[in-house]
Amino acid sequence: MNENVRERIIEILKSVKPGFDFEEKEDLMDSGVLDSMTIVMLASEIKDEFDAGIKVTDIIPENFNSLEGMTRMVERIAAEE
Amino acid sequence: MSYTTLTFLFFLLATGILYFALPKKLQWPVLLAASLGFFALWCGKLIWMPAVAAFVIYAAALYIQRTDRNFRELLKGAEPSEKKSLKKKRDRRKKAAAAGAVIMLLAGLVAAKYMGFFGDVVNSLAAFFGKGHPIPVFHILMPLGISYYTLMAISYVADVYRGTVKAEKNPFMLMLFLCYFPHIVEGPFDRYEPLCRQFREPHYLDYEKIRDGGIRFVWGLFKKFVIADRAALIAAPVFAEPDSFGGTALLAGGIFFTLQIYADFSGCMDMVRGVSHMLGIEIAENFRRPFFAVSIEDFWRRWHITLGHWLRDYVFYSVSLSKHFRKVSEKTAKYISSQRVKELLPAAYALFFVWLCNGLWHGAGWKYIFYGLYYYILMMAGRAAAPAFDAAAAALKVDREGRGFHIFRVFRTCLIVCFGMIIFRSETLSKAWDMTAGIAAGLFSAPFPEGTDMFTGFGAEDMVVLLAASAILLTVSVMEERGREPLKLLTGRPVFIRWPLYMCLLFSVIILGVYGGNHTSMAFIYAEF
Amino acid sequence: MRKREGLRNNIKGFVRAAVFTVIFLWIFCLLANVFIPDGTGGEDGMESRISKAYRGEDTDSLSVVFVGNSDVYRAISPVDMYMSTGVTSAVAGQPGKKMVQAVEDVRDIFRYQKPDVIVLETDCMFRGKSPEKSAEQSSPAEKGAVEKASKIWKSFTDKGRKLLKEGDSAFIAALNYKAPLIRYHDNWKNLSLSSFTDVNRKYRFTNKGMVYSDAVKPYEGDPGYMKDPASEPEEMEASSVRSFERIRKMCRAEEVELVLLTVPSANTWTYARHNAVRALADRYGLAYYDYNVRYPDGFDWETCTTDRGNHLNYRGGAAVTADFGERLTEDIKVKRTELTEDQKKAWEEDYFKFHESR
Repeated sequence: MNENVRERIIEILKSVKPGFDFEEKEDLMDSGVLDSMTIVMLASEIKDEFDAGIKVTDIIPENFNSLEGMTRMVERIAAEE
Repeated sequence: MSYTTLTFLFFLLATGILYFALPKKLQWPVLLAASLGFFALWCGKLIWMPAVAAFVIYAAALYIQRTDRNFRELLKGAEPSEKKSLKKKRDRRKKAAAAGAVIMLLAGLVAAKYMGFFGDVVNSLAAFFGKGHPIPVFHILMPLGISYYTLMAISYVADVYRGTVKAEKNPFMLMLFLCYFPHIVEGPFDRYEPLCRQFREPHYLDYEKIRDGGIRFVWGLFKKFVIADRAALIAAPVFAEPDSFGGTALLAGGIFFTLQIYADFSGCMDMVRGVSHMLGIEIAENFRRPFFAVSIEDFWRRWHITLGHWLRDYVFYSVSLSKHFRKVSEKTAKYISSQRVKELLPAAYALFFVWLCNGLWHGAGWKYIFYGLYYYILMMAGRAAAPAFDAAAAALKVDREGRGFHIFRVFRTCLIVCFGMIIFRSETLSKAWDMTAGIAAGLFSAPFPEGTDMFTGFGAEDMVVLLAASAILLTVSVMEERGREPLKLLTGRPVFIRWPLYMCLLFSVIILGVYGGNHTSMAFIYAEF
Repeated sequence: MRKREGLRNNIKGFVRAAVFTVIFLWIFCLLANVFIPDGTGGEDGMESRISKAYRGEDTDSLSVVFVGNSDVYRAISPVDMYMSTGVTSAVAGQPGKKMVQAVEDVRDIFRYQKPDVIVLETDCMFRGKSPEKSAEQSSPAEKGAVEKASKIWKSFTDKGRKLLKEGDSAFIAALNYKAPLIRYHDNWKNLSLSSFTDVNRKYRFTNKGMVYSDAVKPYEGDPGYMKDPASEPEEMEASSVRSFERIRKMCRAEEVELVLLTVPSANTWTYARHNAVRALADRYGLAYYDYNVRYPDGFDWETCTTDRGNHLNYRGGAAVTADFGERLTEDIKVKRTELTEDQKKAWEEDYFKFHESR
């Protein structure tokens, strides 16, 4: 896992939803911390930052429930494009 | 036949007997036959409409899947330079099939529900330009559940298009998916995969399921007949003639209507979930204690959940993650300096359409559009003003994690929802406005309710019953919110406790229910969609 | 053994459910008796108990009891009949009454009363609209197979829907006949302790089983609805014939005279039915009065019907009552009822109360 990617994602998360600790969490999406609006904002930022276009089919708990999930997803998409 | 008739119970019994007695392979065909019978008995020959919808999505989905397969073959043997154009071709075809299906389905829905409104809009515009009334006003027949099965059909095609679901090879299964009798009248919006997978599994007669489903069904009856239809006795006269009532009575009308629609809709959901549970099929949850919500967003994640999910998955994400959309929001972002607003922009754009659709789905009229946008504006304003609220809270030293603040937020949400419901229920927007103004004025000047002699058939005893029943509902809701499943607790009690409780529930429906010769029976509110 | 255990649990469960259901039904019937309203309280916006009014009268105080369906309880006003002829009566009517139920009614009547006459209104002997009338109303011959097919489908779904609607109400009506908890459930507002302790209490209704209506919806159909006097008598259903026999025998055993009556009803009565009843009356030497053949004085279809010819309103009922009262006293020679002073006063009070509350 690319530490750089992970760091950048944490930055984005902090800017979109300040004051929240995203480390060590496994239910970010299921618990509603990342709701649909936040995810869309994230997707926009991620596209800007990594040039990785998130599709609707990527919005699944597996990808958004944890920091690791998001990192993996971003790396995968960036590799495909 | 409505869910609340005895004949429905007989229908259910007959269906159940066939369902469990025949070989497991025939179970879903039995459900299909029962659902078709149910539909036919409700609105006869209009059954061709869902049949056409089923066929359209059947064909489109298979075509999309086949296109994928064909092109996979082609791509294998292709030159790298050709690959891009092949992919484009494939995607174009898939998109055409999906779009074509969705357009046809929406056309059917629009024709059935919105022609009148659409005609009015065009006519008024034309009149404004002095060109008379080009569109004749005509009303097409509306089949049962068209607002529900159309959206479910669209979700299926979209899922196949996105590749998250495999196309269904059996068109009759799709017909069952659309017309399944527990969800055709008022929803919930089930998704193809979880539902049809259950249809294909064998289901065994299980006493506990029958019992649990039955209890839930009676609980739904309780909500509808004891709470909802009783609250309607106050709400209906108020909304019919708001001018005759003073401020307090108007507010009561609004509050009681909110109670009515919640008890009615969620009661119906309990009934259909109970029925489906008896058959071993779990359908989607549509309510999750909506009045415990702390914000409008939270409310809409608890009220009519499946509609919210549908709009999110098939309108919101589709719009906000699409390339075109990004381009548009990027262009406009140039004119905006605030970082905060820039972040909100894509979501805000997309949400406008979501709320427009939400409003419109509920009805064909300006009132409904306003209803949707009412929530949109409040939500966006809330988000935009969040930093201001933060500052205010800090300055006033408000404990945002505390109980008091939590209660404040819940109360605030309920108030917002109540006024939303006034918009929803009033006959016209201007009446809604009058009512709101009347409440504001009346609360300070005329605390004593005027016009309460117009509440026929609602005596002091009814108020007692309504409050008591609502208290029971509240208690059960609190238990559910805390994760202590009331149904399990109930059925786990010893016989001499649970049987009297069952009896009380049954007899309260029979005795305290608002039905019969002296009352006009209220059709389920959401069945008109 | 998972399956067998599952089966055993299932069976245990269903047996428990069956026991529960039995207890539920028992409580249902008990409560039904509690909820039956106390008629002296006036109508209160609630449907009064029209079919068992005779129970509320003092034993053996009724000379005549009328049995029939909704036609009869709108057409006869016992308090009026009492004031004009001195003959006491009550109406035991129920909407959609079938002959089989009428047998039960007569049996029940004899438990409480010893009338001189039982008057059976004949509309309940036949089911639905007469065959001639329904043939008239069906559409002209169809053309083409597609039309035919869609017609069949439509009539199937229409019939199905009708059956469901009526099936529902028929079932509930049957249930209400035996244990009317559903019908009177609204009465929870009026319950008092005595409702529970005094379940077999007597109750007196001022209307004696008559349902009042002053709505006027004129009958605009064919004034010759009776059709051809020489029509073939309509065949009665076997169960109706059997029930009629039973009623006749019961009356004979109790030495009660059975009289047949048909009140004006434009939607359901024809000569075919008239002749069938006439044949029965002749066979057993029973008196038969058909007000469709000769309207009572003051009766006309403009002002006397409450729903375009199916049922009468009070005006129509008063006309029928006045005429039939005379028939009873002059032709059938029913004597003035022997009542005590208190009973006479009660009837007069009921007469005034009945007319007052209008």
